[in-house]
Amino acid sequence: MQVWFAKFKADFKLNFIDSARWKWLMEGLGNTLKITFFSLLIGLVLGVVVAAVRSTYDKNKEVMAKHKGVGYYVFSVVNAICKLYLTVIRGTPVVVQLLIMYFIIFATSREDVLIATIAFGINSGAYVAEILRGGIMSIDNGQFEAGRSLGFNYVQTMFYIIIPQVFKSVLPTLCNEFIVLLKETSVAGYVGVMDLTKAGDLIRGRTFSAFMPLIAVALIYLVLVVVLTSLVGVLERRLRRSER
Amino acid sequence: MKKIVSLILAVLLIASTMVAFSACKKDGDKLVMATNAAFPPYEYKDGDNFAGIDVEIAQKIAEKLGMELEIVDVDFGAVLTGVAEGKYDMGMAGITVTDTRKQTMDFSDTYATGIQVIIVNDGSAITSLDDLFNFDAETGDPVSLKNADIRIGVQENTTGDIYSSDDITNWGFNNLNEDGSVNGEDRVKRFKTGAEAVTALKNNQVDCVIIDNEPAKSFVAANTGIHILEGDNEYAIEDYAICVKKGNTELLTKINQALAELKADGTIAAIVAKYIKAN
Amino acid sequence: MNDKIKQESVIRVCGLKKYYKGGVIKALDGVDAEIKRGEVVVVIGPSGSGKSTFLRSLNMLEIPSEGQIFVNGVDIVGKGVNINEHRQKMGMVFQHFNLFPHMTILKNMTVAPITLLKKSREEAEKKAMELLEVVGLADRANSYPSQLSGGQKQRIAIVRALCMEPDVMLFDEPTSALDPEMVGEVLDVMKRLAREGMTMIVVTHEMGFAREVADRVIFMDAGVIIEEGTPAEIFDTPKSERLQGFLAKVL
Repeated sequence: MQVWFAKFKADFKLNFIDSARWKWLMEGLGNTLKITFFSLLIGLVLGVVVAAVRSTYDKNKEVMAKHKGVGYYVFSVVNAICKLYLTVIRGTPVVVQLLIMYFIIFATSREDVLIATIAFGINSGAYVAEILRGGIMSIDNGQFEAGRSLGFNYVQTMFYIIIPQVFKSVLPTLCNEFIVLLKETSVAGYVGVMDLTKAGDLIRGRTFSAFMPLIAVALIYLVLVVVLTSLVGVLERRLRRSER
Repeated sequence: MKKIVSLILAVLLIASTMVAFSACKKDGDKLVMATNAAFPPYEYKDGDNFAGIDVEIAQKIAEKLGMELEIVDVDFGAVLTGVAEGKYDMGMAGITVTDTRKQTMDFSDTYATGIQVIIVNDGSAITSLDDLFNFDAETGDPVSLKNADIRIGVQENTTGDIYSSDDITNWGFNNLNEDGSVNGEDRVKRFKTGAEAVTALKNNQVDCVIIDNEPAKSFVAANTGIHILEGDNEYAIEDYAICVKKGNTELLTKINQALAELKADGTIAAIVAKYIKAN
Repeated sequence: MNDKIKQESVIRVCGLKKYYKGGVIKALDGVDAEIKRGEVVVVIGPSGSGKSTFLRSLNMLEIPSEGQIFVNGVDIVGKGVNINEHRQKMGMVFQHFNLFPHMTILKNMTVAPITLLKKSREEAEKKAMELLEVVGLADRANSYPSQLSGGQKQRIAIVRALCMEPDVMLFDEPTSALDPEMVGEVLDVMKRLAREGMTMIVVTHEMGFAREVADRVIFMDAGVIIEEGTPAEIFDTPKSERLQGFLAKVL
């Protein structure tokens, strides 16, 4: 037991204390959080816009098709672009998207963290869009008709009646997407970003020990996810209470 | 009667399970070599097969030892980790002998010499080591960088990575604190493969790539617009060796014995010549 | 009862058609009708007869394939019509109540008047409380819809529509989703509304209500109006075979 503990201590020192390697983990954690947070923001904005276009088109195409104005054709094109975006992003692995972003689209930029953030943001936007659209579609059409029959226009109906209900029903799923995103950023190292996983890899490659750096990285992710999950739980309970 | 039948069945079941499990285990006549097959010409994938200098030398060693060679392709870091922890019998991946590595594993005699070179874009402002560092006139050691905004591309956890991540006074590109952590910005960009580092170089996302001489030649041959700094401008010169788990002297002795024989009969020279054309 | 009806027409429908799937399904196949101010019109007919589609077309929840709908003289099917303004003047009550679950009863009733009629909060709430008083649900003002029974929800849905002070009220099978013991309380509110002179168009299966309250009954089948007249004419002396057959089944 004592031998084991001494070895554990030595390993710990080698992997985290020597050459201040723990600072790599801190830097990596910082980048992971930065990328996750800002790509979530991008994803939310993009997701809201795309979901708005997609569901507005679905709900109004009958009326618009009847009058066949210029707006109808513009809207059809925008809707088709949104559909293409969803298909491409959800149909390809995020790591491939990241590599395309870094090596092709932003080939002249050295801002690896920024590029990774944009790549993950664009990726997340597609999933957020579909979560939101699913949320909008899951609201009974009667709610929509009730709003319209009172005289609310489409946007007002969305804003006062549909969105608040959608928000409540999709919030847990959205938070889950946030957690998935946090874990997905672990491929950022492919374009040289020093994220949490990469920090662990670098320690591993320099100390030649697998256990300490991998377990440390796993534990940090786990703690983050557990904390986020419990926050979501608190939020969910709050929302439920407001209905009582 | 029934009892006897079920007893026999149970015994058969246990026996077959044991056979099945033992088949998965490493057995004595198998030599498991870990490598990172993305380091031409030392090791790479040729279709579905492994090829390269290390692979062929390993094959010859296995023959001498009367064992069957099994190659496992993992990350470079995982080669070192796996060997240090005894997961693989030996590691052969253009591995340089360093003092740190010696602490956690044992190394064979060297079988090849590795040179870390600098690849730059044609027309780059970097034409020699003097364009990278300012040197102390007396000691000849670097004291500062010519360009503080420089970005170095490397394959993560290779010698090139470890050397360039070091302090400037130690021929690295970073300013290190007393505790060994990076002070200010980390100037080294670490990619999963050397090819990605070279792509980043061609995009101007890094200013130069520091990598082993042999893969560097392959990259330069396969890409236009990049070249290796010639003349007396190698970044580092070092020896490659096979690593085994620390304390596994039995295997190490056998490997050294085999290497000596292969060197003596010219096999190694022939293999190297096959992959590296003299220029 | 007829004396309260002024001769002024509020809604006039001409040649209204609604096709689905490119004309394969004809939900409405040429409907002409006129509704006068203060009139209570009950629309009856077998399921699939198009009576709900007809009612929902009146405030454009269904987009007609052909035909015109004049509301106070304006064709609301035409281009350039602000349908939202028209809908403000046409209250609608649905089979499934469609109260907003995320709002209290009071909020359900005031959100539209405050947003659309630019009423002050106090003014809108005062009006809402008066109406809640009338339907006997003032004590539930701060409850959420999920805490109410079906009958209570439908009464709230009616007064929610009334908060917009509409000219016309449309009822789309308002009692069909209710447990039998709750039908009465909803019909009572509707009867009261009829007595007060509201123009009402009611799609319902409640024949008793039709006979007692309606000024005029319209019988629809297969997307067209088969027969219309006073309750006495429709229920006591039905002329068409189809109406006779329908009444034989429901009465």
